[in-house]
Amino acid sequence: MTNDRGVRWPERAYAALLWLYPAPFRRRFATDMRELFVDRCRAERLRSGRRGVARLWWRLMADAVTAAGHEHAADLRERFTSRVATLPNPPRPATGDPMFETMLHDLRYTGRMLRKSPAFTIIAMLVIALGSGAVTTIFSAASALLFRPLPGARDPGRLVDIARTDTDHSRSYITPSYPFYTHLRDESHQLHGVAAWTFIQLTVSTGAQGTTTFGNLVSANYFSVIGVRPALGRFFTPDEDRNPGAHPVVVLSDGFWRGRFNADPAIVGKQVLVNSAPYIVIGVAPPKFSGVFPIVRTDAWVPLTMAPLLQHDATALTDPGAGWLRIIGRLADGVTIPQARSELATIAVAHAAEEPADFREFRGIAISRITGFPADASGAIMAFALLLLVISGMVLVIASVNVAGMLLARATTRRREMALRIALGAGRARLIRQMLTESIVLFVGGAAGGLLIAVFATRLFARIQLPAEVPIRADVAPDYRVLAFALGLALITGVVFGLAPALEATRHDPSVGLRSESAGSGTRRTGLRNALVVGQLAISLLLLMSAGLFVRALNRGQQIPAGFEIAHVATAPIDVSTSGYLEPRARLFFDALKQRLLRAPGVAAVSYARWVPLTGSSMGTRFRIDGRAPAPGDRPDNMVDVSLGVVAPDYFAVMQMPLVRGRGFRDADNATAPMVAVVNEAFARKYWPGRDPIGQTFHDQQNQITVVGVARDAKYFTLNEALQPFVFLNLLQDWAPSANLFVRTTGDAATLAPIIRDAVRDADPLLPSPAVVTMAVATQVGLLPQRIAAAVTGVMGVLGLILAVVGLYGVVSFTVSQRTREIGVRMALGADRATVLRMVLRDGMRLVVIGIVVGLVLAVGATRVMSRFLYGVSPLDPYVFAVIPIGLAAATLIASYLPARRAASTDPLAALRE
Amino acid sequence: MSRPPDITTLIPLKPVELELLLALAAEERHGYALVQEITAQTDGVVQLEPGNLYRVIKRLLADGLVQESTRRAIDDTDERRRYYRLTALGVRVLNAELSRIRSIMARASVRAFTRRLNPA
Repeated sequence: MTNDRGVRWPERAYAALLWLYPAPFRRRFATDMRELFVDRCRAERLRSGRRGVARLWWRLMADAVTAAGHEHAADLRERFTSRVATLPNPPRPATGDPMFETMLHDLRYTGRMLRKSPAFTIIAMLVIALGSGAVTTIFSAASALLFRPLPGARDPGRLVDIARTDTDHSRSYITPSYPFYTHLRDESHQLHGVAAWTFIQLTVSTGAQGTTTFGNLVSANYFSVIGVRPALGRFFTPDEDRNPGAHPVVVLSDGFWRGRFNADPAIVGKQVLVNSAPYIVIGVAPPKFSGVFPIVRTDAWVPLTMAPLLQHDATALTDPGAGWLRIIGRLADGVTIPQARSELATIAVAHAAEEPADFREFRGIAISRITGFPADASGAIMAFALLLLVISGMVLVIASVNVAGMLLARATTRRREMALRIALGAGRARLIRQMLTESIVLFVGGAAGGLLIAVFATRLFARIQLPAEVPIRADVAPDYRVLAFALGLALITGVVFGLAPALEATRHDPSVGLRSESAGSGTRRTGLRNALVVGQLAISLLLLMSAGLFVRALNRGQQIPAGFEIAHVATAPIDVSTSGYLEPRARLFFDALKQRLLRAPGVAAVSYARWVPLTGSSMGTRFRIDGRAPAPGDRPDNMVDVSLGVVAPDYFAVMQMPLVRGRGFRDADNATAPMVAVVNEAFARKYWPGRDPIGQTFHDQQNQITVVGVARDAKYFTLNEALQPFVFLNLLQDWAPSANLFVRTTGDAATLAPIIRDAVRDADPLLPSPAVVTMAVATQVGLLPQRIAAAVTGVMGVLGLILAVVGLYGVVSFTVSQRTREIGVRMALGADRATVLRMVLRDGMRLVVIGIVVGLVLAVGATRVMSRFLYGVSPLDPYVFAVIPIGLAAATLIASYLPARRAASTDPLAALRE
Repeated sequence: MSRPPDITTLIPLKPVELELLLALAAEERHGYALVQEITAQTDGVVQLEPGNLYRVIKRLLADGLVQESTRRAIDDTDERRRYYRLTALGVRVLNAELSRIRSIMARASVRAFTRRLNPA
């Protein structure tokens, strides 16, 4: 390795350039070539500084294009001739197939042409690189998230996600129970293995303070169904699916093993503490593998049979009413998804009698290919990715149109050359082929640049830390699929956008072309160039308007009244179950932590809840409302689906959520007291219209619950949800050992982080340090799609605008240069500068106006698609529809003003003399 | 190689090939040293960039005119660099090419000389 830090970055860039060469050549010489490059780079810098290095790069690009072109051709020729030739390895490659010869000739000629006008070549490739970089980056991310579902798995195409739905296909899902899973596992023949798993937060320690880790509880066949082999040690054995609680073993992820155990090669067989109990490390997973949802980091895997101990729930593996698992399966050879679905549905029906009554209607089975996301979310994610892909595709179109415009302009200057070649006997097809070779080389070169952009951009993505509750690992770097995509795209765009200029350049009658003269030039070409500019302006207007709409949606989202006040609140997940607390001790701990925090400076109120509002996580249940006659369309058992939040006393004070009637929860409403609830206004209105809700009752499976208070309507799960009936239950009466702590301060919420961490450490030094975020940050997750979309469309829109403005500038200056004589005549006849200025500006702005009109029409049609991401902002938002076109017009005015000013300063004498 | 290959099929050499063989005739060199030597010898007229340098090397290797050397210069500590040297065949081809050029040069100078003696 070279220690010269200044050279490392260029060396990587050069290494990327080397991908142009055929693989055998690369294998043989790449190291030496890089070495040579480093030496050359150093020498050039010493001799002539930056300019020398820039010159060197230019030479290297030309070198790479010609040498790689020759090598590829030689490679092909060798393969071709070795198949037909009887002589082994003639000393010099014989003149082979004429097609290759032509191609070689075209390439050689192209190399010469491109080298002859380096400015044109560099600008064209840069423009394409910007557009292609945009598409390639988005495609790379989309492909990594959507088409690379399970890195490290064998034949992931046959893996399916299995979910339970209700039979009327209203797409409500329930999570399967362990007994349900064992039925599928034992009775299915269409599936070659069925595995179950779930997320679990674990505290892993080796003595000192523990580390909060994100683990999976998995069935013993989990790894074999997915088809993953251990990097170290072993995975689980079938025996570890039996005898609940008898197998304290753990498999570590590669990342966790490296980060926490310094990649200790002797880790297998060592003991660690998982939730304070001794476990034996039996294996390490391969680096690529990160569970069924690869975007979520997984640190460790523990057998499902340990669930009763880890979750402090003795019936976890036996209760058919406890749904907590996710199921995946591998289709047996030749089995289709519908076949598997009908088999599994039969099994589900056969065991329906064992399940609680309210599971009965969930006899439907939904099977879908593994996507790397929960089955119910992947559709929305796919739609979003597609939207971003289309947006970035537009930038590529704008860039390509720009280059087509440049090629078209050059076609004019090359008319003589073409005419001469036609006169000398070249066929038109041959010339078109030559021109297409040139545009394809330009586009492929640009795509290589775009790929580099994508490599860097995706690396930036990976660094972004999302304020999410689960650790996100976004490995979206381009792979071979992205490479093929970029190359294919370059070939297609090279042909599509090279064809018009090629036809244009070769259209001429040789006798006319040879007679030269710049006059005439035909209105058709100008018409085509004008159309290209109009198209660019229209698309960039569309992009900018999309960006404008997303920004409006973001603003709207941030201004939606939540119905409570989060400005001075911070939150932290507290989970004592993973540290070996049983319920009585956990209750004491939660109370002690609250009292400790209340004594801290600035803390105004402290509470807990089982979810963090406005982050998208939701909870719901079924109640039977007492004293209410079933309305038409209700369920026969008179149960209603209700959204639910479980909160501790003082929650309404922490969130400053006003109670319009009755009271909030008190410490006295504990596990032994009668169950109480607070409902929102919408709930009271819907189920007890015209009656006092206080004192009304409803039932869940076991308990009668009495309403003691009514809270003002608010948003609960996301900011863009519709107003819904909502029930608050008391955490003290619906106990869970893991909850989210909420603390309100009189000062800045950001100052709470050390206060909360200190309080947790003082309360129990062995607990992992909690991750504290302000509510303002935590709720940003809800606006994430809008944030990403606004950023992406904003960047793309500005990029598109720059390209379109450059295109417009090119067209207007071109017309000005064509009309120099005419302008000279006008000025000689008495036209003053202002008249000429106005005339040229009018020409440019005519294109702009047409572009804006076309763009507006496009936008009216297209922005409708985005409405689901807009938080109620109208897709025809008048503000966006007024401001953006005016801004665009202003930017383009500058683009036509510059050439217009030049035209106005034409010296009539000089112009006429030309 | 069982049969000595026919040298005449390998000449005339291309200019870059000749420069490369000449540069290797003095001593075995690695890529960068070759580039430096050729640049110096041609006063910067021939400036080889990595792609085309190794393309030529590949061809010369295939024709058996040069081979990778196992030896290293004593002062060079970079183990990864590959050095190249002329093969016996390479020496013969180089000599054949040089004498071909010499004979052309001889003819050319004789003609120039006679032209000067007998102005037409």
